[in-house]
This record gives sequence, C-alpha cells and structure tokens, in this order.
Amino acid sequence: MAHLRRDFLLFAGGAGAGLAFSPLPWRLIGDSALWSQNWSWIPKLPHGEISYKPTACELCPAGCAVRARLVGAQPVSLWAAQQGDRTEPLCAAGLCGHHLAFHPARLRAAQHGAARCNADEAFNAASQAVAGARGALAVLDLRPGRTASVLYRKHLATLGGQYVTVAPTLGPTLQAVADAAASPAVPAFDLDNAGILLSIGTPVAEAWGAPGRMLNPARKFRLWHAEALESGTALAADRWFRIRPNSEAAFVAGLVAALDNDAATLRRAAELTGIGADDLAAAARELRQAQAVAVADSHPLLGPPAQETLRAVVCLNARLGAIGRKGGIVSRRETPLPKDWAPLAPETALAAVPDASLRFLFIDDAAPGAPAPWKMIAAKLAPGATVVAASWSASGFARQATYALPAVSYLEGLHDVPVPPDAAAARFALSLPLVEPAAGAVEPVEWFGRLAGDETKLADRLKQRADAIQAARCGMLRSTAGEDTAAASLKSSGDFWKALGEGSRWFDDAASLPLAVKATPQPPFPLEAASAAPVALIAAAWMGADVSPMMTKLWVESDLKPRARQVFMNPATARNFALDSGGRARIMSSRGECVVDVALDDATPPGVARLAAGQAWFTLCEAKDGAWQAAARKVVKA
Amino acid sequence: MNAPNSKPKNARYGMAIDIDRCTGCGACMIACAVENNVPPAAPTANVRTGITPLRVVRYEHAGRTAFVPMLCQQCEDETPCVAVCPQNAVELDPATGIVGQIPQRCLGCRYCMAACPYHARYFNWADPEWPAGMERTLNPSVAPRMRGVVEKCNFCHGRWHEAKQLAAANGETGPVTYTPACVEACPSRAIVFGDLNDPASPVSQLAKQQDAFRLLESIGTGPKVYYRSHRDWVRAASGNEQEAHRG
Repeated sequence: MAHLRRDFLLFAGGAGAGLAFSPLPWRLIGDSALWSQNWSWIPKLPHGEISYKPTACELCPAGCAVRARLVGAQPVSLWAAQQGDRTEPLCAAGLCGHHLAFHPARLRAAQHGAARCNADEAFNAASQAVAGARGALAVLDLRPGRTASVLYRKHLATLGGQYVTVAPTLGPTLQAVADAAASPAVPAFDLDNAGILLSIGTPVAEAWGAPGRMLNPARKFRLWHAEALESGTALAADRWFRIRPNSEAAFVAGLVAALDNDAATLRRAAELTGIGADDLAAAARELRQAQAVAVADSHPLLGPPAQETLRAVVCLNARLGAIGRKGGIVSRRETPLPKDWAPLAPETALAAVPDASLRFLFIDDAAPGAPAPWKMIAAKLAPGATVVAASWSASGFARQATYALPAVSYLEGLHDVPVPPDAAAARFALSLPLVEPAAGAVEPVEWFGRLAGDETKLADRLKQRADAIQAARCGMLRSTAGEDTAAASLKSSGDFWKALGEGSRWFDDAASLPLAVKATPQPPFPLEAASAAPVALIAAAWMGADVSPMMTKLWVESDLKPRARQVFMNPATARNFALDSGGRARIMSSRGECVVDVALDDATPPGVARLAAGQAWFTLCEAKDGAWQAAARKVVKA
Repeated sequence: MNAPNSKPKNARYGMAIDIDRCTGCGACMIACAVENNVPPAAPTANVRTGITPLRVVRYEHAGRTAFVPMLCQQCEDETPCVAVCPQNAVELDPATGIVGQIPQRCLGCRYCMAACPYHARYFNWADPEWPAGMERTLNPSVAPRMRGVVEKCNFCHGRWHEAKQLAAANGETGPVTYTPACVEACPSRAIVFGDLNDPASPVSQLAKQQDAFRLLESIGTGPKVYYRSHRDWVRAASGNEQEAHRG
C-alpha cells in the first residue's frame, strides 16, 4: 500500500487536532505556570520553632500590651496580648512594628552632615561642645515619660542644661490642670468612672489612649467629640459636634458661658461654632449631670493646642466639677524613682526656650511618629550650635543635625513605656529586645549619659527603677494570664523584675490624693473671630505612617489615608480656586508656601482645605500662643 | 467531639461587618497583609494595581463618611469566579464554604477579576518584594504568591489549617473555631466571624438582624459577608433595590 504525501498530512493534522483534545496541552500550560512561578528570587519562608513572647509597644504613649509571634528568634507578627478576659487590639502601626528594624529609611551609620563619620568623632565633638555650653545646652525628648526621659533630666541637672519637650509629658490638658493646681500634683483622667469624655479636637481614638480601649463599644464612658472634620474619633464618638474649623476655643467658651448663664457669650459662641445656642446649653447641662470630663489635647504630630484653649478647658472642667472628682481629673502618684536619681532638671516646653539660646542640642528621635518642625527647633539654636540627633531614620532630623547617630529603636533594646494619657494610676511595663539592633546603633540615653560621665546601661537603670517600685510596696502586677499579684507580696525585687520580663505590668493602686485648683482661669476667653483667610487650613495627621513600608497599603495602594503633600477640598471649594482633582495647588501663608496635590472630597466641608500633616504643613505653620498654626493667605493653581 | 462514625457537619464561614463601628483606621488592612505575606507597595503600584485583599473603602455621601471594609464576599451561589476559571484555580470548598484561590493553578488570565462583581480580586503585576531583611518576618504558614497570578481574601486559610490540625490532634472533627487576622486586629470590634450554619454563633445571629444586608444581593451570588448599618444612606449604597427603597 502506497503512502501518499496526503496521507502523511492527514495523519499529522489529525494528530494535531486530537492532541488539542487530550490532557497534554492543559498539562503543559499548568506545568509551565508552576515552573514560571517558583523562581529563586521568591522569598523563602522562615523556618524554626514557633513561640510567643509578651512585650509592650513603645511606638506611642498608649503602650499597648503586645504578644509577639516568633519563628526561631525572629518576630514575624505582633498582636494584642490577652490580659485576662480582655484584649485591646493594636493600631495599624502597632501591628507592623516588627518591620521597623528593616525599614529602608533606617539610619545605619553615624553621619557628620552628609558624610559618614566615626561614632567616636561625634562623641568627641559633642564633649567639646557640651564643655563650652553649660547653661546653653538642652535635650529635646520627642517621647517623654520614659525612664530614659528621667535619666536625661538627671544628666542635665549634672551638666546644667534644659530638658525640652514639644508637648508636656502629662499631656497639654493635664499639664494645664497641674499648672493651676493648689499644690504639686500629677493629674490623671479617671475614665473608668467617668460618665462622658468630652474631647475638644483630641484624637482620642487615633493617637491618644490605647485605640483598643477607646474604640471598644463596651467602654464604660460615653465619648462626645467636637471637631470640624469627620475623623476616626468623630466616627467612634457617641455624639459628634461638627463645629466650624478652628472654633474649638469658641466651643469651650460657649459651654462655659452656658454653665455661667452668660447669654451674650453663648450666642457669640454659637455663631462661631455653628452649633445652636440651645444645643450648646443643653449639652452643657447634660455634661454637668453626667460626671463629664473634658480634654483638649491636639494630635501629637500637630504640636500642642493654644494656651487660651487649655485655660478655657481647665475652667470648663472646674465648672463641671470634674477636677478632684472620681470620674473626672484625679491626682495620681508618680511612678517611684530611686532616691539617688535626684536632682532632676525641670521640664521646659520647646516654645518657652528663648530663641538663639542653645549652643548644644541633643535630639532623641529613636522611634518614628514624633516629628517637630525643624524651623521651630532651629530658631532656638545659637549661631554655630552643635546638634546631635540620635535618630531611627536617615531622613528627618538626621539631615539637619551636625552629627546623626543611628539609634536603637522599638524591639531592639530593653525599654519601658510611659504612663498613657488615659491612665488613672501610674504604670510600668517593659518593651523587650526581640531583634538585634544594627551594628553601631546607640542607645540614645546611654550615649548622652557618657557626656555627663555616667556609663550605666539603660537596662541597669530600668532594674533600679523596678527595684524602687517594688520597694514602695504598692500596686499590683498583672500577668499576661490576667492574674493580679500584690507587689507587696513578692519576696524580692528579683521576682518583681523577673515578672516584668515575662510580660507582667505593674499598676499602681488608684490613689485618692487631693486635687484642687488654686485659681481657676476665668472667662472671658478669646473667641477666635472668623478668619479672613480664603480657605480654612486644617492639618490631617495619622500616626505610624513611617513605621513600616507595609503602611503603604493605606495611602499608596488605597486612598484610606492622606498622602504626603496632598490637600483635600470639597468640590465647591476647589471650583472657587479653579482647581481640579489630580491637579496641583500652591498654598501660601505668612510663613511660607508649598505646592500640593489636590484631591476632591465630599466629606471635607466647604471652605476648608484639609492638608496632610508633614513637611508641607510645617512650611506654612508658625508658633502662636504655644500652638503651631497655619492660615492660608492665598491659594492658586500651580 | 463527634461520634466516631458520624459524618462531620460542614461549616459555612461568614462575616458580619458593622459599618457604623468602622473608623477607617486601617488596622485590618495591615493585619491582612502581614498575616498573608502580601508585600508592601511596589514602586509602580497605585490604588488600581496594588494588592489589598481587604481594602477599606471610603464612601462619602452628603458630607458624611462611611468606611466599608471590602473583601472577597465568599459567594456561594453561582460563584462567578469559580464558574469562569479555565484552570479550576478557584474552588468553593464545601467543607468550609470558603472560596479558595490556588495560585499554582492560576494562569493569570484574569477572567475571575472581570467576573467578580465586587472587585475583590487582585493581580500580581510584579514579583513580591520586601525591603532587604524584611523577608525574615514573613508568616511561615502562608506561601507568597508570585508574579502573574490572581489573589484574594480566603478568610485566612492558613489559620483555618492550623486550627484544623490542632483539632485533629485533639481527636475532634467537624467545623473548627478560628479567627481571621482582620477580626483579631479590629480595635472597634466591627468584624465578627464564625460559622453561619451554627444558629448560636454571633455571626449567624448578626446576619439575621434587621440592619444586616449583603452587597449586590439581587444578582444572586449569595455572599457570606454581611454588612450592618443603621444609616439609611449606607444601606442604600449596597446596590440592593430593597435597601434603596428602605433608605
């Protein structure tokens, strides 16, 4: 039988067609998909024994209890630690704090200006500068309230310098109460017994107390919030007063006027805030009946609030009977200190430091989330001043400082966490080292201590403080299992220290110390008049943007949070300035100007520009009455 | 514990999300990314090309804001992504009701993305990359996905697996109780997760509340993610005729 060329073609064609109906091509596609998906550069997963360690988050003063999941010795995730029958979940930044060690922005070597330098060179230069700057040297502590903060004050007392903070350690409202107190006291909010927490523009659910506590629907107190924008706190509040932009002071003055039956001021406050006079009066009555307490701390990234607002809030708290009352502002004990740490330099607000007065400045910037505008710091420096910044990041203060030192940050060293602003009693908890710090990283307070001739390690100082707490024989230790043990029942300070290292937290007894104000600030309080600015400028801040590259999920891969150099405007407002979504605007204030991206946002009220906090806002703002404020002089299309 | 010869009951895992409690803090998004080894944004990523298996969407209406956590709705009827996948890379697990994505089978044709009415699927345009050293922090229970495949929320299948193993080690069969990362992370306790087949479970009871609704319910996909809101304008935005009329 002869085979023709046609037979061969038919066979080949038939085989080809048949093949398409066989599993072979699908298998080939599937296999090639597998082969092309397993390249060597796809990261391999870590292997090792899985374990859990309790620690405390030190990224913000809330100091949440954390349970770290480790593979081998490496933390792979951080979750809220169970505390008995309750858990207070972490914020977005707290969940990825273990990425901080690997952040691409980390400062990894000492720098002199833009060039790398030897850490000894920086120390020698600082020693010389400190020797010639007695009385004109300072430490700017961007995370006050820690044991390291106390040690700075101890060293500064030795060296003759000032301990400077951007916002007071206690928080602006409590510091204002302490300033007005009849005798030295440490005021604290007693929220467990409060009926209503009235927040005047304070981001209580975002950057104040533990978010897991403030956002808990089962919280004991009601939250009332006054703010122009519908922030996270406004959304979480049981009642939100949508006041006009920059009318916080008028709102407080209106409530005081309502309680004082001052009809004229109440009417004026109602006009300025946009809240009806009857509503203000009814709110004031309910606040007085419901064991309310008021707080007016601004966002930590936006500096302290104006002194006049704080005076008005102290007056409001006094009118509400909140000062010295259970469920209001009570007086607590300080966390005990070793006696031989005294004397301590007093705390000074950055705004109170005379301009051009500092010849040496040390900045503790060891963790993200606490910037201050450089221009306000630079104004305090004398010509030729030496600035040393112990910084987590190569950007920020490290760029402006004469010498920049890589700092040991969160999870890299043994630290303690400050007493949170919503705590009614003193606390003490340790944040444990779970990650190796970068080679050459310094513990900022140890480095500065050497300048004062103190070589003691921070870990030893923490142990000394724990001993002092145990020796005071007050309070109780709460274990990670939620079991409480009276501190006095522990046999030795070693047991106390061991328990702290295992994640237990010390809580002081709720002390009923007397608290009274000697001279309550009295009205009239200045009601800010409507501004002549073409648009009201409000800074939008959110904590933790720098903690981990993972935070890009919130502003690069979604539009949940504002981007740097972005301004949100109501479409009607944008039309007034001929601005479009995606376009750019040039905003000018009396202090500077910046170009920002425009985003249209229906939730931003007309006449308001909501500018992302950061360098653009810092360019525009100025210090006024202790606060950082910015008023737009002109807005044009860029 | 089940009787030795009884067939274990199937679970229908679902969620109830209280939109009124969500403040848009983003903790759930970060927890999801950390738990599931989703890399940080690639240099070219944006809102459309990023990978956010759980994305909190800001919804504005007449000057008010609502935050809506959007994730795979775990459809159980006529599941569109399952129906269109030429590779069987998407499967509806009858034992759990979870719509699973199997990246090793995925061709990257993105039919499922086109078919998904909730835009809850994401394509890996680039290989996953972490800053130097950060790959040491990856979750050992979840394999990273590679360039060219689609991914989505799978109700933290890694956690389900661990819970299942633990239950098996204890001799238990049947549905297990576990908590996805977003539920654990939510500081407002806005997300409740559990077995919809269990009438006593909180999620099952919340799903039956008067204010509960599902997105695009009218198209018949049978999502197992329920949302709740007392606000009429939020419910009216759910894409459901009856909600619009109620609003």
